[in-house]
Amino acid sequence: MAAPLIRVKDLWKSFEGEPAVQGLSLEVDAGTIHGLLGLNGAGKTTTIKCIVGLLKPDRGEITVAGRSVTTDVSYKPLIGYLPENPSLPEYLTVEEFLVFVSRLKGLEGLRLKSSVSEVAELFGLSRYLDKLIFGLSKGLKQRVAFASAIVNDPHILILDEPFNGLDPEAQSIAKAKMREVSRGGGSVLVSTHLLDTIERVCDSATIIHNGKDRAWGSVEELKQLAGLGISASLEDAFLRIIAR
Amino acid sequence: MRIALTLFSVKVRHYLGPLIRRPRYLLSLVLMYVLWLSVTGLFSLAMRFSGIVSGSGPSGFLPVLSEITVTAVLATGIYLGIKGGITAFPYEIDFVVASYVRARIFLFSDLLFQFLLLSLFIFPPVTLMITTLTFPWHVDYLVRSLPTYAVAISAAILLSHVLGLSRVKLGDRGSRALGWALMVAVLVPLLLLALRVPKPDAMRYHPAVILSNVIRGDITDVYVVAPYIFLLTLIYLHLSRANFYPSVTPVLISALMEQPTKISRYFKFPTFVTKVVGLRNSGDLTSLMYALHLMRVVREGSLLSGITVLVFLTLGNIAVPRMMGGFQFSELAQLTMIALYVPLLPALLAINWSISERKNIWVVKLSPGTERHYLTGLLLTYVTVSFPFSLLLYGVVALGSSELPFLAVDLVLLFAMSYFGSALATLTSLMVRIGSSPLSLGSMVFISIPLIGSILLSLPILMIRTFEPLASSPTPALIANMLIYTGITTIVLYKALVSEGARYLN
Ligand SMILES: Nc1ncnc2c1ncn2[C@@H]1O[C@H](COP(=O)(O)OP(=O)(O)OP(=O)(O)O)[C@@H](O)[C@H]1O
Ligand SMILES: [Mg+2]
Repeated sequence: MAAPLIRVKDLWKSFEGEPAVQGLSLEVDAGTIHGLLGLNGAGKTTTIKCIVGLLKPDRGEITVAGRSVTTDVSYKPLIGYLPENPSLPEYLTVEEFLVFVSRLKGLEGLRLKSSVSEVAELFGLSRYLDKLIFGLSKGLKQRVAFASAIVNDPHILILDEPFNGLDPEAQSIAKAKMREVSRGGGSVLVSTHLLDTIERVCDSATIIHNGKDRAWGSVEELKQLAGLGISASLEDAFLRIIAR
Repeated sequence: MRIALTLFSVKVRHYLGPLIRRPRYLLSLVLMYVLWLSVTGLFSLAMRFSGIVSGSGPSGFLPVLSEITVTAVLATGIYLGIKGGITAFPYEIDFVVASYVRARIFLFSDLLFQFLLLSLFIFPPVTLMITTLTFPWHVDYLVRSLPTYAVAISAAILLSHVLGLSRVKLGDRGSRALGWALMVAVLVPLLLLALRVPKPDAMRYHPAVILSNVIRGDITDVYVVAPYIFLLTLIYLHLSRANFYPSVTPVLISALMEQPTKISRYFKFPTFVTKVVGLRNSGDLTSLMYALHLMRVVREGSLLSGITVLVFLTLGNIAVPRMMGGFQFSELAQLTMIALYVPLLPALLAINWSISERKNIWVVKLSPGTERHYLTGLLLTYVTVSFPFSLLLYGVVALGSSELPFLAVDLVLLFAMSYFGSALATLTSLMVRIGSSPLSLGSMVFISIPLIGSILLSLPILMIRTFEPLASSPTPALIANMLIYTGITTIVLYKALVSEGARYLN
């Protein structure tokens, strides 16, 4: 068994004395899609931001692809990240933004050109390429942000509520992309409140409660942990686990 | 009424933002405010002394100064009006405008808010200025002028609201055209003064002229201004019956910006420019970032508003000394003065950066090692914008002068002020996080640090400029020394920015 691509061990993070994450651990194996579940304010976004290096952990150890994120930033080119509320440079056109992100990720020349038109095509953005991001609808902006996260074909996808505002078509595109990454031996870490999506897409999930991992396992295992049968809904299992 | 007061108090809290929660911020802000007041005080004191020296006394400057300040107050109101007039935060658009709070109640709360906002920026410095200039008769003058300024502020807010409301009837374009027409009308007396055209008799009925006459002592003029206020109020009451909610825009945040427009479509850069600054070209990362920031300042309108401010200041710079009569800068000193306020341009750009762009840097933070390029690109953009523009202003103002004996020193000074101002503005915007709106108190920090800081850093050059034979015929050694000093400071500031600044880039 290969080492997990994302490993968080005993993570602590507080904001001005208010603890947000308290001793959380989780692992995402290569070739899997892992869900993050938890109530509002449970600490999902904080955990994710620590993993992608936008927040500095107070304590604990995070490794991505075997590299410790606090000391070795060379893992960053491997990941594609979609923030919870992506703020985009509204003064750029869709194409300019995708080009900008690709250049930041080291793409150039023909490779850049084809990557940009590929992701734009994939997310149905071709029509909007020369429109300013400013005028796009919420869902279209989310599509642009998602497209920018996968423009360099990352091996690891970290998505914070990626389906926010996406229509069914875009959701299915997003899910297909997630599966593609995991089939290719990569990892996907996705936080979402859509339990049926977790059931259908994720190989495993972590339930976070009050900044700590409460339960971990495949959907079936989570149901068992909750003391419910396979036919029970994940919703019931989730509610039981966090109520304990 | 209760609702209006509640709306008002929530608005004030939102405006003060983190200041309420963090005493540390409040303290530094108070310090800034005091600093700002002392600058006004020093300026007035300098004028007082030069008045004594030239023998014209306080009455020489006061009428002109009052006319300038009153006009500035009215022009501010009109400017806010052009930008939308009714100052709303996004939360107000989502929760107040969308609620069943009556339009006039919302309008009234905003009236109170704008009065507070403008008062905060206007009354203390004006009091200080008048006291300094007219002591020991200051009580007399203050009793007359403070109510007059209150009238001017009220008129400014009415104008701002009326223009905002007029969007319902005239549409965005029509209302903006009306705004600029009013702006020109308000500025006419100052323009005449600056061009040394004697005021035609009809100008006696110009509101700005009337108000400044009152300050000077012609109390009877108060009755002439009453019809204006009355008329304005009538129009205001009439317009405020319309449902103006759909045309409310977040003025407090966008005061210095435009909606990103496809300026590129109307205003094509020549190909050789896009070759250099396009995002796609395979330059290094610094030029990528440089292109990004250039496109940003152009498209979101920060550059335009910054340049407008500078042009107005330059007009003032040419006009004020002429208007003052006794308080005459030499024409050549005026040229040097351009350098002193050039840092305002990067300061305004930095305010807009912190409001609109800081939240986007997650994109950059995901690619390690690009922060340095981001900051370099930002600094380069500020310098590219401010240095050539200062040269342009210098050139325009210099057109009138037959010779430029201080050219060499002035050029070094212009560069130094543009660069120092840019670097300090970048650093300030990275380290200070209290700019919730370009009209916030925090913006004072964004403006005063680059402005005062770069003047301090340029002191050696400024000193040289004040010593006549040194400045007009500098020896090669002196020029070399100036260049070395500027060069070293430039490098030090740059190093500080990329090493220290990157830590604050989040
Ligand atoms: N920048 C911040 N400053 C202060 N507190 C914060 C900050 N970010 C998060 N918190 C706090 O940390 C806790 C965890 O927040 P987090 O955003 O990680 O929750 P979440 O699980 O993503 O919730 P949601 O499902 O609502 O997105 C919350 O109590 C939140 O108030
Ligand atoms: Mg979250």
